[in-house]
Amino acid sequence: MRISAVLCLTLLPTTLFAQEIKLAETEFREFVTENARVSGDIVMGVMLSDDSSSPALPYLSTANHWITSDAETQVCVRIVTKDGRYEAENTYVVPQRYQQSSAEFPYDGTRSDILTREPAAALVKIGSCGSRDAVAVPVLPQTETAPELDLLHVFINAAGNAVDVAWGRGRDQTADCVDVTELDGLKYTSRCDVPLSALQGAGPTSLTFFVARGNTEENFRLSVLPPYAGK
Amino acid sequence: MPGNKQKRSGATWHGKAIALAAIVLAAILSDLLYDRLGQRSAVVEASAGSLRLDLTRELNGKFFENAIVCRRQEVDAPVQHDALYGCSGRTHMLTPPRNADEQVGRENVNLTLPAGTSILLSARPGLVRLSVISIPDVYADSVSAGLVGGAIILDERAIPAFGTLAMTGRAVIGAGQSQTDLLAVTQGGYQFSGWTPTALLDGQWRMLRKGALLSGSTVYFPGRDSDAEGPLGQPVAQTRLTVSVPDPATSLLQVTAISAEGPMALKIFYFSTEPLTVRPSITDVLLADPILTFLATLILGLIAIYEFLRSRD
Repeated sequence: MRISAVLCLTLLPTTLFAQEIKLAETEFREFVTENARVSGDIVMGVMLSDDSSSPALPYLSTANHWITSDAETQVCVRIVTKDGRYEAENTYVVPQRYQQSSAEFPYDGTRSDILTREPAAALVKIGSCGSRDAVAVPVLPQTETAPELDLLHVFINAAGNAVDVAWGRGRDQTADCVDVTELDGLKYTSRCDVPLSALQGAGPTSLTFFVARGNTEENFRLSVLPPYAGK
Repeated sequence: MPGNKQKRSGATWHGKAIALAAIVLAAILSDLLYDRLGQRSAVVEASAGSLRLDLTRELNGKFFENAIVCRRQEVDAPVQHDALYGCSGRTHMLTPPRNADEQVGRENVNLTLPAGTSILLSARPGLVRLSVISIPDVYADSVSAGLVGGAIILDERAIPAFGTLAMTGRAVIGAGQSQTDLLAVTQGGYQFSGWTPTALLDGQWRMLRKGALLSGSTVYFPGRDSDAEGPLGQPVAQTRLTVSVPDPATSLLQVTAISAEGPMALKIFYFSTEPLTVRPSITDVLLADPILTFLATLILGLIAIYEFLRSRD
């Protein structure tokens, strides 16, 4: 997926305020390196689209639950290409009582050319960057053709191991993830597809990921807000 | 006349330059032609901890003795929440034990997998695992489909009976850079053999080039066909493979991969680098030819003798 110069949040269609979402820091942090590092993070993307590159200009939107806060809210937006050579991680500040039908995260980087040709995953989490327990918000690209919002795609750095995802305890609430390992890929190796019907609650839904590692299994949880936008 | 002498000298120089340029051009063109058309074959022999393969021919009747099998559960089976041997109890189950004092059961498996199946062979000390990643949709109701997401697991008791696993498919030998729980190639080598001019007389191919594979590499034969898509997102040529596990202690896979005949090359991939392409050049072909080598030696020797005798005169 091509990550455009603009990230867009769809908000509750209520009173409009002329407020802007701004970078928490003065500079947009993005890195391009030929010697990419293996990531220690597990979840690399929570998206309503796949990670394929596209020349189209997409906008990404997410749910809105944190925006009704009476205080400023920090949001971490991270974009990584699959080969790991491009990374951008920036904390944005959402003003208090921010209420618009869409919110745009300005892209102040200079390497959007990489994002037009390389597969990439985007992750939006409530809270400042570096917080591991933050709640993820699904990212929705608004492309020329409206995507079919049936599945949530979670991109996992599983070191090439098999992954299952569960959103409940029953067999019908568990699914095998898809192996997307590539020889020159580095940042994520598995894509877990979760039906959006599993995220219909008012608050965050807890997803559990199970990574088979040799003789044992590693599991971890991720809280995801239901997507608001698009329908 | 000095002027005519200079003109003759200039013409000679131009002639030599043109001849030299023609030789260089011919060498470049012949090497390019050899790259595209030259018939050759490559063999890779490697110790590795991982082998990813998309079968292009059916794997039929490989017998595994005392294997632990992780296969998909029946829909109405109770959900388990453990993952012994990395086999997810939520979706799969291990061979059930026959006795109460056994943790897992064992079974003899005669493995059949259809062409188009994607598998991963991985090894760690005392454990070899043949994981089935996917099979073609038309086999969704077959017995093989029960292994998707599961594996044939061989531990220290089963590895000595591994024997040789022969397969044909599009293979990547060694773990990719993101597969950090798996091992890449630990050591190995490659050898190209192919046609030389003497083959017109005796029909024999000769060894053209050989080299070593360094530890940490991932190797495959690149495919030139448009439909050569293979594992790990690379265009990979069809390869014949034999796999054995000669040392049960390390359980490293001993892989011998033989390419098809054709304009073959070898790609060697190291961490975070562009892959290195290895193939014999036209110079390797000429140097490997015994008659050409003999004739070249003879001619150079005669020239040396002629020059020696002329200097005495």
